[in-house]
Amino acid sequence: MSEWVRFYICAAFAAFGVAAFIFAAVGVCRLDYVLLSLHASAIADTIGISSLAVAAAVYFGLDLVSLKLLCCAGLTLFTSPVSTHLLAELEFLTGKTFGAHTRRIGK
Amino acid sequence: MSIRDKLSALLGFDIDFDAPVPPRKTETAAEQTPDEWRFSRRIMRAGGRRLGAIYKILGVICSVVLMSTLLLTVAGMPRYGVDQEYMDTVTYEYISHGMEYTGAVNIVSGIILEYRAFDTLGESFVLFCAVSCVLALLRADGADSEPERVEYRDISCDPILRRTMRAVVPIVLLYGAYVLLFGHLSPGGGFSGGAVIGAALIMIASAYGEDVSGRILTERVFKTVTTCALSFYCLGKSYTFYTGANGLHSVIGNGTPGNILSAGLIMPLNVAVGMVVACTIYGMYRMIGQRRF
Repeated sequence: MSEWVRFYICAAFAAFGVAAFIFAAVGVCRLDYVLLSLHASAIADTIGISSLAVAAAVYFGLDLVSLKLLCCAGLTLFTSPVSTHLLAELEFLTGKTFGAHTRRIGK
Repeated sequence: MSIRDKLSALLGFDIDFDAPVPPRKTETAAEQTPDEWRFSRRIMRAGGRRLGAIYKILGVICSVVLMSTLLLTVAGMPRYGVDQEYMDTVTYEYISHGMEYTGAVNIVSGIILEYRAFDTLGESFVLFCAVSCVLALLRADGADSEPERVEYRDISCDPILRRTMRAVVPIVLLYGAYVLLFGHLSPGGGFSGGAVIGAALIMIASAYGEDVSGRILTERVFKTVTTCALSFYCLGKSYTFYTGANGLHSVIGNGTPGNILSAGLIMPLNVAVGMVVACTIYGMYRMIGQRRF
């Protein structure tokens, strides 16, 4: 019984992570502007890697390996949005074509 | 009101998007007096005629010798899959007796820091040489004049980055120390632990700006740490190799495999290599990214 519960939790996390990666890939391909594709790729960085690591941790059970994996997931969850934020900030500060893609919303 | 004005009002400071980019300073030609220039050109022309033929012949001879040596070596090697026992001797020796001889649970650490220690020493020297070369190039650039101040966007005033780094950097530093100190017991070692510590130093430097990053690692500290680590590596490894090859009694025992203080010199050597790697990574970042040490 508990084996099956563990398997389902693991599968749910893995499916969620893989779905995030697929969404991110589609988004990076379809959105051409830097900030837009950054918004898509941040999904893969943040949710995809974290949930895949959690899935692997659930698969291995309580172990030193799964503890390390959970640490990796937590670190990614905290640092990846910051790196995306910095990239977006640099684009905001230095990008030459910054206003071109956002003007439609502004009017 | 354009979107830029709105964003400026939102941010609270003015952004000059259309500021003219300052023209890049072009390099002047090599400053040689005309006399020197004529002299060197004459030498090149005279030597070129004479040396041209010899150079070509020597080049052909060297290439033929090198090619035939390499091809003969390849031809003399045992065929893959046929003489597998003959090829696997060294691997078998490492796996079956590695822990007994080196005292390291992690076989890879045992190999790269005991059996192949001089190889690792060479790799550390490669890193040291790379930093020295970059340092020499930067020095040659601004020897006479003050190095021109490069304008770059400073992201260190970002509060999000600062808060995150304040939480993350201690953990990363602790993990780097763990990887260094447990290199003989678990996966890891000098190079990976040093890379983690160097990354943590880069995080501090990028989050807290130039006034802090200049204080982390000055050029003097870099030279002292790197030289001490490499000298310690040379002396320690020479001692163990000398005693081991001549069958003498060594003061440094192997200890109990699995303890932290075991495996002879592997843990101190890991720390030495890690310090060299961390200093190299941070020095490269500082020199190339911020144009000075």
